[in-house]
Amino acid sequence: MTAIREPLPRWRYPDTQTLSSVFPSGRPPFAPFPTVTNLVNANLCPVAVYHDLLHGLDNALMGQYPQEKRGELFQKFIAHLKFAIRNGSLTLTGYDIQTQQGRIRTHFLSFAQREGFSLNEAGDLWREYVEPYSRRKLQNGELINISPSDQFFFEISVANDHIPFALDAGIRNYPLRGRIDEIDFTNRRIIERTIKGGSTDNTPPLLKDYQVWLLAKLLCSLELNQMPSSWNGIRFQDFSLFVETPFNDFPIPFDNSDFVTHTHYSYAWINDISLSESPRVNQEVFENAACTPVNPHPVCAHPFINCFVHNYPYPQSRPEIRQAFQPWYRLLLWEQKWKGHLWQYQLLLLSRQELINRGLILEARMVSSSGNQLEIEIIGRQASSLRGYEYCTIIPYGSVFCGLRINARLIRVRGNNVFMEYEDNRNIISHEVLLLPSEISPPIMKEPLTFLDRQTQSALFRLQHIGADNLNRAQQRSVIQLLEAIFGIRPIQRE
Amino acid sequence: MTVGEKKVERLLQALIEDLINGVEQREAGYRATDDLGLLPSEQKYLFKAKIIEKNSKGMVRFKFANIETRKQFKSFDLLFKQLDYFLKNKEVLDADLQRLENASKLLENLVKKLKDSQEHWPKVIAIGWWKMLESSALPSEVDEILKEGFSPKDWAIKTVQSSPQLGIEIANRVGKIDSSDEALSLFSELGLRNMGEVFIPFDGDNGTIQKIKKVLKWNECVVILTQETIKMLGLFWFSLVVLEFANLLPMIEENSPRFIGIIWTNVGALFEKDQLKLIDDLKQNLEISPLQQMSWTTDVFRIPEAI
Repeated sequence: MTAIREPLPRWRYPDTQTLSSVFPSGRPPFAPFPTVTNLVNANLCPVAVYHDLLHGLDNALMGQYPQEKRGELFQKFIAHLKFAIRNGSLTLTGYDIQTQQGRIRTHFLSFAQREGFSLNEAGDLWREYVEPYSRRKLQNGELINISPSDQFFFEISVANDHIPFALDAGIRNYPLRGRIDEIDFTNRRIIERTIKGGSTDNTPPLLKDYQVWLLAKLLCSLELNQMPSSWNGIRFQDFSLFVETPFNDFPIPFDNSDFVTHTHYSYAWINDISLSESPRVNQEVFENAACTPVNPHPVCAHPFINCFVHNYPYPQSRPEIRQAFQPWYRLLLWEQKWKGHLWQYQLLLLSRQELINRGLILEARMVSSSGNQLEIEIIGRQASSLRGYEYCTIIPYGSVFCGLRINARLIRVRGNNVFMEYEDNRNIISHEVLLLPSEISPPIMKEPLTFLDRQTQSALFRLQHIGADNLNRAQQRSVIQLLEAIFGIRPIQRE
Repeated sequence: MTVGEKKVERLLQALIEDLINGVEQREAGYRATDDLGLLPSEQKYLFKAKIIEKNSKGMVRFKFANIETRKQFKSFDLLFKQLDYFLKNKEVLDADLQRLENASKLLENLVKKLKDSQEHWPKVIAIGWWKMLESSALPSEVDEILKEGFSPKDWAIKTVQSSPQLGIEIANRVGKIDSSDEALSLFSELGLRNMGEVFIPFDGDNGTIQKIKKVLKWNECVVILTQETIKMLGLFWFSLVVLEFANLLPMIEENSPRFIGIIWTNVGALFEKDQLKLIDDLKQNLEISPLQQMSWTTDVFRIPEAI
């Protein structure tokens, strides 16, 4: 678990001047706006969060592609399955469990193929994950008992700028954002779902309990006016937390003082790695690593891939390359902080009117929806002036603090109405929409493309580690020769 | 995991253990079959399947040269990665340990020279500051840069060219030094090659340097710096430069903390302070308010990122 780190005296939020800055430059005078993934990585190992922030390497516990895609499919299908049963498009009642499973299987195989998986792979995924999951949920009656009045929400984005965590006799406030796999209002449960874990496990997969706990803390920290209006009166403190694997449902207690302590440590690591000017930080990160080549971490995805990498003798200038790249990683993080993290702070800390005035959000009204298309009327602005909103995020339900976010594409404009096509076939619940610039948008968008900076970081990291085992191979690889030419500073010694 | 798989795992672990303990590759991982509880039938099967190999004493080990076994034992992925790390990195690991030892000796020698005589300090500072300024590219307010007639592109070029001269100027606050060539002679005094061939100072013209100094309000800033700060920053940067040119930077990232430790230990020994005290003192001087008001100073007056 988290390496001990002195809790921060306070989180460094951007001040009013920074929130309003038009042309930011230099060292960002504020800490990042962390995600739940950042916190989980920091809890796992300081090196994991160092990789996350500086090398653009995501969740150390997520696993490599295609595992990540499989997990996404599993989560999407469970949502699809529950909606299908609720809406009556998939009927299970009146059949025995075997037949019910057969119906779910047919549903899954066509769903997986629509999502780009081959029939063979879909078959594997059925056997490995969906079959044990659905069998369990059919046996305990959970699926069969879904009724049209049931309410569940999937992939709800939550964010808050000040979340209180107890510390000694007082509290510390930190910002956090994340996404909840499922909120089941009928059974009053908050669920984190994963394809990890085996049939014989008696504990949840590593740090999944911490993840759902963090998300629940985040949700409970929101005020009534920050949540969808139809959620008024719901006390999420009374909900149960669960980690669902294909084989088990693990209840997670809400009160956990260890998690609180680990959270303070994790925020301290995130702050120090991204903001501290102390030269000791890098050294301390590696000194506190959770594993070594002799005792590698059994679950973390980094050992021998991003940590303890194969050290090719060529290029010989690798130490210089590392030295040259090191400040670049940090500068790319600054870029993300100025663009993406500041934007997150602005969304939550500025008033709605200020956000509209700055063009950070547009207000809109839903006119109609059909298939995966929406017709939206833009309020207070001419639709024809929508430069930069070709790709955007729509929150059809909820607010910037808590709601359903969907990515959409502008397909045409008629008068002051715009037609947007969204990527998922979800149910649109609310007629109040906010139109936000998206995090995944073309360069003409106002919304910064922070994921590109992360890709640059990870590409640099890969470049830093490429190499060859012998001189002959090194001489044949133009990349290595190029690196030697640029960074090599000892040509005379090498002769 | 089946019993047979458990035994193969044990063989794999034995091989890794031996490699970690420095046993030569050709001898690593061999164990008596009785110790492993390998039945004759199992032995026969594993040998036939090229999963194990025998030595002249009849002991067996995991046959790591057969890459086909990796497909067969996918669940041992982490062990295979660990095995590769110790198999393929041994040479580099050993070379790196030697590098660290030599780096330590070189810095000890430098510290001794600086303790014995003050005359080396200007050279250390001139080179250290040159490299510190050059690597920072002296960021400044665009308006100020334009006001002095530089385009942003010119500024980037001219500041790099002027760094050696600014390094000499600051070194003259501590002792007498006339040129970068004089500073570079310290390399030979430390037993290294003369680096004049690869370490070429530009000749920044005086007019340009004065304009750069005006943009940065250089004189107002550097006058605040104590001699200790000037020396400390110079020594940190010089240490890194000299180790880089002596080919003594670690190749392996995991050795970086030890390498950094060597630099801090030696700088600490010279100033007779521990790491925390060194940082505190440096911070105290650099956080004096006139310096803090200059937007560029925190990005320039700094300890190298690698340290």
